Amino acid sequence: MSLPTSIADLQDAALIARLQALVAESPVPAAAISAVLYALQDARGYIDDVALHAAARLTGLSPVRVEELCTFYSLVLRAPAGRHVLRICDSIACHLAGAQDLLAQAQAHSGVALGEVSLSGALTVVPHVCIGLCDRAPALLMDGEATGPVDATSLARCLEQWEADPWKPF
Amino acid sequence: MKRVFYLDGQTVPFTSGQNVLEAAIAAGMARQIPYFCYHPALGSLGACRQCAVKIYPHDDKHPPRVTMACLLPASDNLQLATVDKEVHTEHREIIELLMLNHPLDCPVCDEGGQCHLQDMTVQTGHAVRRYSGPKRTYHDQDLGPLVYQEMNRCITCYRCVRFYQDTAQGDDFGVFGSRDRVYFGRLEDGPLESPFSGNLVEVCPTGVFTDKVFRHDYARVWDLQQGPSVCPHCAVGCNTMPGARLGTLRRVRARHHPEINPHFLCDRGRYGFRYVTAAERPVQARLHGARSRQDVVLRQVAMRLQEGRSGFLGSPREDVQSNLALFALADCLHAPFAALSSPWMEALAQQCMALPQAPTLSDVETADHLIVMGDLGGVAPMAELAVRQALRNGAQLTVLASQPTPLAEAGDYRPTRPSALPDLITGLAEDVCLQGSRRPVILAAAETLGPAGVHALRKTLARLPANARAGVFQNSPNLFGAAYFAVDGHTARLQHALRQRQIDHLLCLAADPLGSDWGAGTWRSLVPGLQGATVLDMVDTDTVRAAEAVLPTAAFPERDGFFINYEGRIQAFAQVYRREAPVLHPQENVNSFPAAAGGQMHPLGPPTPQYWLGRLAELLDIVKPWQERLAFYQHFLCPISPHPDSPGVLLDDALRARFEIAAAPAAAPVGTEDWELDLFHWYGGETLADAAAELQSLAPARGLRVSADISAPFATLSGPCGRLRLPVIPIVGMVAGVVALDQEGFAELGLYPGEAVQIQWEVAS
Amino acid sequence: MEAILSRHFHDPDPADLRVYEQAGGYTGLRRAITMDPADIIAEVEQSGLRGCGGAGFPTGLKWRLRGADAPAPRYLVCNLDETEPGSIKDRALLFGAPHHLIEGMLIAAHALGVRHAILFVRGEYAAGARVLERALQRARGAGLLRLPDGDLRLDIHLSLGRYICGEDSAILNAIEGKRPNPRKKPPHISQQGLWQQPTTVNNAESIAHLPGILAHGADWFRGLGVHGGVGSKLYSVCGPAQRPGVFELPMGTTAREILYEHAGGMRAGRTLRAVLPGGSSTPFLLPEHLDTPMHFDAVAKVGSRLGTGGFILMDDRQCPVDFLIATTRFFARESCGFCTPCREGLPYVRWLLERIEAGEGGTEEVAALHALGAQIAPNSFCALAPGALMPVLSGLHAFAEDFLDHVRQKRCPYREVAA
Ligand SMILES: Cc1cc2nc3c(=O)[nH]c(=O)nc-3n(C[C@H](O)[C@H](O)[C@H](O)COP(=O)(O)O)c2cc1C
Ligand code: SF4
Ligand code: FES
Repeated sequence: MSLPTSIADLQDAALIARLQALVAESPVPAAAISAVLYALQDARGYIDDVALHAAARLTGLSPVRVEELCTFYSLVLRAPAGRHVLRICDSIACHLAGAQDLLAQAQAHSGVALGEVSLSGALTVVPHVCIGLCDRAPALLMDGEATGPVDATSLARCLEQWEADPWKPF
Repeated sequence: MKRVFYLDGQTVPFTSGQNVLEAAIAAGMARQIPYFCYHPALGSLGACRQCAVKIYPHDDKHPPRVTMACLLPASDNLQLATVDKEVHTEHREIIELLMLNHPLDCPVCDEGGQCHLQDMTVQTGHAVRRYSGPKRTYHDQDLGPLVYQEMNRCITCYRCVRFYQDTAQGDDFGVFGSRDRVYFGRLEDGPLESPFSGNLVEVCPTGVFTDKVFRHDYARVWDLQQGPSVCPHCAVGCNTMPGARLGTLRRVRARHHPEINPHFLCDRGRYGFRYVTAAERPVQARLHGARSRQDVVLRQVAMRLQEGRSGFLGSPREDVQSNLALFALADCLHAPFAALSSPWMEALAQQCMALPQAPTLSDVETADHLIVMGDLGGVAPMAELAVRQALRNGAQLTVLASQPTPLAEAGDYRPTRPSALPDLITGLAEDVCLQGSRRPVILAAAETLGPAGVHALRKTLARLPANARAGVFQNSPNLFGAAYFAVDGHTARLQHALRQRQIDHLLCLAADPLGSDWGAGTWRSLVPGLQGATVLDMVDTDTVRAAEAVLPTAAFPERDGFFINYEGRIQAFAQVYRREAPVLHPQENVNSFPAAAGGQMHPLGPPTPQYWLGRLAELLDIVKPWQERLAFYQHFLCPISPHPDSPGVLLDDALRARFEIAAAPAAAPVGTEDWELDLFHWYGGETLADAAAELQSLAPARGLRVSADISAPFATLSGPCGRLRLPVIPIVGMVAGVVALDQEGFAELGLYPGEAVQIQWEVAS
Repeated sequence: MEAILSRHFHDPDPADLRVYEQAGGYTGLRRAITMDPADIIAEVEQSGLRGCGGAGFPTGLKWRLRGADAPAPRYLVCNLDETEPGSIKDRALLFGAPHHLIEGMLIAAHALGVRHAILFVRGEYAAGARVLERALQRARGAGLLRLPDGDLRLDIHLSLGRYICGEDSAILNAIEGKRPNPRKKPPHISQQGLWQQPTTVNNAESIAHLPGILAHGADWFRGLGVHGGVGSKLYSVCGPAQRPGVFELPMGTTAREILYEHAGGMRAGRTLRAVLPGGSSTPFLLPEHLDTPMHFDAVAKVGSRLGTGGFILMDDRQCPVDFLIATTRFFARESCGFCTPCREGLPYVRWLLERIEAGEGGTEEVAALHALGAQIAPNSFCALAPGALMPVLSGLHAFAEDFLDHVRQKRCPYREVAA
């Protein structure tokens, strides 16, 4: 496999400029890595190998070091996800309010295992840690936006809508 | 005052800065405190939580508590206990947790018998696993030909990644994931890129990383014959512990030397040993290319010597005794002798000898200012590792080289033409940084510097503060030992004698004058005058293949001997095992190897060079004078013979001082318009290691390394001895006007580093 | 009690600088910049403010111990990584009181001689970070970041998500761009923290209290507390209550009052079985403890911890074993994987609980839980694993009968009831 090694492989001059600005603002280049990964993920949907190597180049970290971080953090996607990502909180408050049922419902809808892309490509469902909406349990993150409380009906409605919606948030 | 604390009522001495675990291990009390993530070279981490001890506070206010010994600074009169129910429970519990997911595949695990996890499990008494759930499993990566990975055995002590990233500063291996899915590996399958990757095998306390080369020819470690040896693959002279079984060498591990290699080895040192088991290794005497009986071959060689038309050529690749034995024989026969294959090498050796005391590698680690010239890591990888430790300690590093070497990337890279080095070195005397630093160290690849460069270095050193040290390295183990009696134009005399047809036979000891030795181009031009060559060697070389007579020699772990390393340190190595090879044609060997001595197995393997030379002396009837001379030279050079287990003894300064008067060598002038040559070396390359198949499968492509501005696919170089057409390998960051070539290339052209070369570039079609 | 931290929670735009200033905002800062840093620290110390991140270490003392002569540059980090299940107060501050945070950071920065401070916000709160960013721009525009010794560099760092990033040394690795494992101590982060320089980490609520303390003085703050508590506190309630939410109340308000007066009591038909009073890494409080004043010392006296003041309620229909599976699942998943007891031990605890819940566990499993609990907690590298064990160990005790019922009946008795 030939590895992408140049930042130019991103093929997006505006993005590259934005990333370089993030690094320039940072006290040391490595400290910009979180912001760089966010920007890359926003632009490309997930951190693909091109993004990984570009992030490494920009921050002066080796690709291995960037991967060490990507595989640690829960909000980094290293594989393509569906058009929409549903992170369902299964921590204690939401658990008490029926998070397991929501997870089962969403997974059944997706037709694949948790964390995988549904056959229609519309959806990836992952269990997630407490999102700070314990007073509105059960809660979840829809493409990063926190919502709660959610019940079977409102979840089903949202899933239907996503299925119909070709729009890609990235 | 001696500082002590108490562990289970026993006094444990410590020095300030030590932690309790460190001090206890140093005091031989490791059995009381089990541990995993601590490693003497990697320090404490506090991750495994295995090293619990109970601490009794001095006052009555605080109750005794359990704490981790590796994170507890040793202090005076600490009261600690491990003979304690709570501590035992903790030790056993941590082991239980570490073993939850362990595959328990000890019967088929290469680590068995030397497994720290196995030892600790037995020691702490954990025997029954309560957990019966599913175990986690990992995908294992193919990490190349040297290191085998089996991730399911991992106990997450982080030793591998700390060694690889922190100590060796490699960046193609890391720690991925988190929680109970922490993974140690590469981004994707592929050979590990670090020249020190084999140390993963030694730092891993269980069988995650095992020796893939050993695996091909595996033996249980308790069945291995092991003994102290010295690495023969470069001038550093790391201490090693080869292991053999049933008369064949199976593996090499690092052996502790406090000042050279306390813990580690480079991959050349660890995996280069396969020259010993290579199929091409000459193990039987040959005459005119065909296997022959020893006595027949010896008689033929003795006849040649008797004619009085022989010259003798030694080698820095052979040990002290063998070179001296050769010299003694030449001396008895009044025959011309040279220890080195070219006058250039001779001058270089003289300048190296004259250099004052070089820093030990532990000195290098504590240097605060380093200047490195040439590709140090390509020549002597462990010297590079020492520089990297200095970097971690905050040292400043400047690299003067023609190519962005791995070290150059870690320091301040000053692209430099080799021919400019002598003047730059002279200028260093005025360098304010060097004048101001506390422990400045200058290290260089000897051949890149050349005789003129090393001479300049000595002159500069005299003008630097007394604390400044310099060391130069090349890739044979015994330059000093071979070259001591070989000065004053010996090589030129030998070549002259051949050219004038005063001699027509060459007796070569581990020299390859018709192959890749420095100056081979010149030797090849003298072949018409050569009626025959006799070679004593342990690897297959061009000269071996062309020789009239071949006398195979024992590999280093198969015999005793001395090497003198880059510091002038005389180190002894011991015979580790006796080679036993199947006797292919027993009828040819009936005289030498009676059935009682080993049946169908060749019980002794190839003998030492000294044995062959002694037999020749016998046939020539000069045993006594030969022996007397040999004893005299050896006593002169090494009056105190070091023991293989000792740290070695340094060559007497007075012996080295005599080289100070060697004439200042002149470097060939190079114009700024000229293309200039530099040496390219890869960390696994060296004549013996070149025969190690697994290591060599990683060798970079052969070619001409040149700045990426040049776009020709091929180039033809011309030198006084020949022409060479090579593919062009563009290198980003390489100095314009310099091309880097391997040693074989230099040999063919008859040129030396820092010299000008004619190049014809082929235009890309 | 008058709303102090929660003053703007329901404003249309809590980032509105004018509204904040009209309500008395930034007067604390104005006073602080006229003061000697040592006097600010003394005032905070006198106020009795204790860290709201969970450990309750006195804030003023933490500052003083760092030392006024700590070598520059020094750093300050506001910990807004709030991931502890059941803790939602910092989120409320982020969305509803951004200027409190900014003003508090400015005061702390001046007191600590800091020129570079970082607001570390968890990635799940990205929308809140945008509110904070807006407020920050306005404050910067109004010249408020100009401290006597020069401008404060105040950055917002959006985390990529993991609970361990809230640990006060892991947070520094996260900021530096390293794997966010906790660091070994010593050296303490106050001596060698961010980029090996002296660093102070404070919880968002601790920071948000500072404007009030500086504006009205230490005595005013002390006087806010009741029943031996000091100052005010953001409590929260989640689980089967009538009105879960965040409530700003005097520190020391009793659990009963918080639950029954402010959160409206239990949902109809539910009976309270137990409470985790300070997020999911605290031991259970039982109904008989409801009259305990909710301040650090009083809660400790009845065997639990105030933690973050986030109540998680458990009612009588809830299986305690199932409850503990959910808390343990969180911690096992969020373990950073650095040390053995936590990395290997927590999944083992979860597995044992699951076996018991599934009716496959015997008394050995229960005994193993006790034994593991006793080993994991004291021997781990950081406080994550001990926190994880707190509900488990106290639950094993408080609900011993329930555990035994699972073992005896070889099934979960609560499942039946539900069916
Ligand atoms: C695993 C772990 C997670 C933590 N998470 C947070 C957090 O999200 N927010 C927080 O303020 N403190 C958290 N803490 C506590 C911090 O380490 C630290 O004590 C606190 O931020 C100090 O601020 P304070 O003194 O103002 O309370 C956590 C501690 C641990 C061990
Ligand atoms: S207790 Fe150990 S594994 Fe768990 S989060 Fe802390 S350091 Fe990481
Ligand atoms: S050796 Fe002490 S914790 Fe690992």
